[in-house]
Amino acid sequence: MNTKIRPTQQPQYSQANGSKRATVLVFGGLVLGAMLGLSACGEIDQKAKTEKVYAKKLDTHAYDGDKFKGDKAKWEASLAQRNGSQNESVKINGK
Amino acid sequence: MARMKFICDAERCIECNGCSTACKNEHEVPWGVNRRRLVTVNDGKPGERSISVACMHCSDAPCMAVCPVDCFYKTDEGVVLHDKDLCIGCGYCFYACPFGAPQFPQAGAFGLRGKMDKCTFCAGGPEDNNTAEEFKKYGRNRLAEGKLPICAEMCSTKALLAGDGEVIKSIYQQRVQRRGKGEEVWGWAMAYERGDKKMSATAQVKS
Repeated sequence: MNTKIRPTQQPQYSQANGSKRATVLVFGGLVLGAMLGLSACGEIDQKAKTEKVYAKKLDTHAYDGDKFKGDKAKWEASLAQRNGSQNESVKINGK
Repeated sequence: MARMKFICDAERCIECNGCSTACKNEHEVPWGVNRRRLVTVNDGKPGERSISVACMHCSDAPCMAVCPVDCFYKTDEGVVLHDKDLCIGCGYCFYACPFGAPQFPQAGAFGLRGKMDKCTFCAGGPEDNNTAEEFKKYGRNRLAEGKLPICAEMCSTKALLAGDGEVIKSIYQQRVQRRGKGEEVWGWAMAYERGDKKMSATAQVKS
């Protein structure tokens, strides 16, 4: 039996076919990229807050009132004097 | 900057309620709200102890963590304050606080809760210092007057100390070292017998 083995034929692509395929791939890539990119639009950040942020008006410093007029050192000295006077042991023994 | 704290010396507190009375008077706190109160254990028995409790101005305050409207803030001195204009009176802070500090005035019939009220360390709130509006919402701002909280300043036995944490810690430490601890510092023996001996012994050791 005479059998002829035909050599395997490699597919022959023309120049026109190759460029068409490249165009399809690029276009497909762009569509896929756009889909992935746009899918994040409108998504609300659901990451847990680790630190709370005070929402409204800020308080003025204690030394910014009428009495101390922003003199922090004077305010601290006043508090320190009262703070120390809580130690009656010092007051009684004079140490 | 100082970090403001309270310490209550349970060995000294005589349950006079002067601190809570002074607080209510100073800030004109409404009926049913107690910014500061006394807790007594073993009432009427030997070893009875009382402690004055209010907001402890926690370094990592759980009330701040759970507040859904973020109405809490902390001053440079470590005082935890809140904005009553933002508070919705939900009560989450009350459940979160281990000291029961947040208080809610009854705002109407059927148990309707008002906005939260608590100890401000006599530092007012986010309104301008020492204004009528600040007083109405938060009470007097003694800190802005260069004074410490009224509860501690008028405590007759100086059981309640308030102010810079480092300073009041050293005052308390000095007391404990001087008087001893536990059963040594309670009862007849300390008052009339061992007290003098102990003091003289301490003085000898020191000299």
